[in-house]
Amino acid sequence: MDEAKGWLLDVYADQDVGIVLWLLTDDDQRLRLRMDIAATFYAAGDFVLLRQAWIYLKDKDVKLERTTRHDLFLGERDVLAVTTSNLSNLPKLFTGLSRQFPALDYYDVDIPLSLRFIAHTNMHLLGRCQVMLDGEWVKAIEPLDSPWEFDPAPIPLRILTLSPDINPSIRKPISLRVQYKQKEYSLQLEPTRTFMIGLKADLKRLDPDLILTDYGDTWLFPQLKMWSEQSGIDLNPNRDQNKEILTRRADSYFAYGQVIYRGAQAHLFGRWHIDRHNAMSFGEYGLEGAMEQARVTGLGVQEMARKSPGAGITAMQMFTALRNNVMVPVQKQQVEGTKTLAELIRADHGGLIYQPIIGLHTNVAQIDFSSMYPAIMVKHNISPETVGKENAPEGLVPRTLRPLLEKRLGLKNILSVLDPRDCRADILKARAAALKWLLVVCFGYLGYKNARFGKIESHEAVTATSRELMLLAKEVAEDMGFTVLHMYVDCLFVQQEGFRWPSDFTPLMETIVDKTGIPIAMEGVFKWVAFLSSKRDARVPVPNQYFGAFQDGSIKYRGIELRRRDTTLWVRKIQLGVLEILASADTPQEWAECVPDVHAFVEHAKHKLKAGRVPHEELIVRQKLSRALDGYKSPSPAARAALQLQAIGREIAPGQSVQFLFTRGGSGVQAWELGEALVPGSVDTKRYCALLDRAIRTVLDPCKPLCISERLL
Amino acid sequence: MGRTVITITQQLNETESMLSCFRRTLRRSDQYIFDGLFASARRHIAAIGQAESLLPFESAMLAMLLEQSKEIAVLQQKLEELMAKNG
Amino acid sequence: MNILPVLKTGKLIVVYAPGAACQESMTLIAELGLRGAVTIMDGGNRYRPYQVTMMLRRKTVDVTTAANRLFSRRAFTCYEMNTLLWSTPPLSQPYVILDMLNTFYDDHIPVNESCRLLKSCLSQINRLQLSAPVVITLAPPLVEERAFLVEQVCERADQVLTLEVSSPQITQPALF
Repeated sequence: MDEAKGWLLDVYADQDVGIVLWLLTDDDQRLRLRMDIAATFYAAGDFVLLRQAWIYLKDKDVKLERTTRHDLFLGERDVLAVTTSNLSNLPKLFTGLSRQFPALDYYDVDIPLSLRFIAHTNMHLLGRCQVMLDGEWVKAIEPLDSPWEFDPAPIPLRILTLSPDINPSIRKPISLRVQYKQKEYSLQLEPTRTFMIGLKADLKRLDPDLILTDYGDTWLFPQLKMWSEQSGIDLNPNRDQNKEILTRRADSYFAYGQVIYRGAQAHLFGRWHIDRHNAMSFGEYGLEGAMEQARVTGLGVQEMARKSPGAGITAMQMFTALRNNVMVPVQKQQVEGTKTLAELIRADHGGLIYQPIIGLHTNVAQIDFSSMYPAIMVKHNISPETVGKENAPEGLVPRTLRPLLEKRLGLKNILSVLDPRDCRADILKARAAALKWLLVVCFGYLGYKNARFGKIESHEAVTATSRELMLLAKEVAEDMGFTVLHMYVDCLFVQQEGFRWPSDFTPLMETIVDKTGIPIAMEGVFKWVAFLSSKRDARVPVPNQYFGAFQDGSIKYRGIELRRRDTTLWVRKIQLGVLEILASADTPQEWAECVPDVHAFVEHAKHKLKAGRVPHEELIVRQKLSRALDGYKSPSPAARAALQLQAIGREIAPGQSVQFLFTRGGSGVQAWELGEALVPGSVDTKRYCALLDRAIRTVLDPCKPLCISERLL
Repeated sequence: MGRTVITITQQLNETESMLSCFRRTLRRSDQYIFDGLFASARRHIAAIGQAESLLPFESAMLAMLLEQSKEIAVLQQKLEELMAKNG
Repeated sequence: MNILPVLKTGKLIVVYAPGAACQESMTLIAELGLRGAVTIMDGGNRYRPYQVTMMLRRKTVDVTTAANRLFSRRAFTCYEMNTLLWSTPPLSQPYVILDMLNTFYDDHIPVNESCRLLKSCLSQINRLQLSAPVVITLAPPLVEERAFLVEQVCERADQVLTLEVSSPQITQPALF
């Protein structure tokens, strides 16, 4: 028997029996291996129906067994266990069975293959392992590290980057830029045959582990298929040549109060494909973050790069259930308990949100509870099956979150003492950000309608506990002489005369941790922070809009135009420039003295705009279509731009963003992706100046005289 | 996901809308003060929510009284300072 | 629209209106709450607790007692609606099921599965009808291809009350 050591890159169902694994070995080989593994799912319910289901399945090449398994809410259940080694056939098998017997309850049907593999072998994706081989067959696999290590050995991936010379939705690309290690060159797309021969040769020669693309999902891979047919050159970008590209079509769906658009997808086998323009949070934490999520969730890198963190948390919960012999239902069974009207009003609340004291405040500390909601779930054992129960054993959700929380806090601690110039800093930051997003969504999934183990009462228990902890923290701060200027779900803004350095606030933080049991961290001490008022009524504070400058001069802002995706780059740049001017002030007096400089800066910016010296790219407005075009009674600017695109044959689906400029005359907009040059002088400078004025009014808001109460008390 | 009962902010907005005829009939100068009452209530949305009252407007009116009391206290303080200054 | 007079044990009343007759159903719930206990099942996020308490307050100072007689549960998927109905015991207090079909229009649920679940829900409603009156409110279907679900519910009803929204008319302001 041979053995090999290396990193586990990919796992998927084989054609017939078992699974395929790809190992990146220590001696830089890429091995395609196979492993025997079976999958079992369960059916429960009426005995007569189960008997009939048994008869139906008898000749379907599966192993059948009557047994007892644990349902998280219903306890032990008599089930029909159905085991198959043909994992690729499992979905079809289940579809046939559920069509015949829809009234039965089904479990463990749609567990991702990678999770079944990890539960079976204890070997996580992207982890190092040692395998015992008999030819291509894996006989034993031993993990050599853990997904919870802070700094696992880096994987020596071969990364090939492919990007067209232009966004294909604007104009037809002429060439494809190819980057590999330090080399970079272009392949002309025509003649097609020459291009296909060249690309095929490059893929074979470079044999990348990851193909990173721009518009690969929505343009390159669909085009490759067409070009292959046209040119007669067969190009299969999979490393596993037995497989075709796995494609998923584009989709618009309604979630969280808005329409979300998901582009088409192209997944590879034996290597990964990630489209940087179609990867959900790739912009925030990049490849390292996507790999970290794959490592801890058990879903492949290609999946995690494209899916929301919610899919990752669901996978983690499924895995915890598998490892603890809890069945994962296909459909959520549990429903809300009965509540009186008073109980409903009491329970249905979110986090505690204060209304801040409007105006400019100096020497204000922002202290944040670290991953508050997950920490509450773990500390107070809040899980759908434990909520409302005294002394319950650790629930499924806290058991899932505990190692995730520990790793995220551990990474944050390492980063807090790491020299920012350390080459590991960016990688560790990306991993911490990726884990943060998993933790952020885990709370939402407690109450999510489609969450397998979701239950609204556990969602409500978390928010109730969080409100209580915030009130405790407020009381501690006030007992210690602080003024609480603002509170927002998991953070407090506090101030006390004579307190201006982070160390001044340490006793407060220690007391809060002592009282609440939840870790808290100092975000920073603002030399000044401005809490803003409503544009509708200046007497009404706005809880989620503020900006300020820390002691070191760095700026933080929330809720203002700078943070909004529909603000043009030009307005964002000017607003940021204004904040940088204001950040030089240390006191309210100096702040007020900066205002003339601000006005001069803004006037200069407007002058440049009117003189035509602002690049059009900086004036692009980006807005989403909230509905299909024929659903608009009076089309919004985005809808008008989408109509222009529709006229040239481009369809924009609800939830997709449209980019446009405001123009004088006509429909008042020009869609950016028309690719047409703007007529000189057609930019609606008046409209853009109005947008800028609005953004500048936001940051000069604290100049307005305060009402009597704030000024004298 | 999960929350279905309207927020206190939305509830206060609805109550304000229900009083739109009342507001409309007021003189413009009185409308400003009337709006100020709701602004006062909005400063204490968190407390109104925490009160978990079946009739949140009762708690909102308490918040309006609270803000009025604060203004009176400030004016009293200023008056005392002025009187002390002028002997 | 006054639904109270037609409520009787053994009867299923369907109210079909835009917005699933939200305003009218809150009025009904408040009126029933003044008289005794009510079971409310909310299938479309139509329950307005604060609106109900304000209506109660107009008729009684003891809002708390009436409010404590209003028992509700929410369903966020058609599977949950089915489970809600299966797990509801037969009680001699009216049942009000708000916007029952809202979750059945989810295009991630195959049509035949929607049908199967609706059939199961209706069988449970038959069971509950034996002990108390049942009122179901329905809104116009979200997707045309599932409009037949509305018909299936209405076919089972003893009475269907339809509320049309009158279009705003131009009226001359009164002189006096």
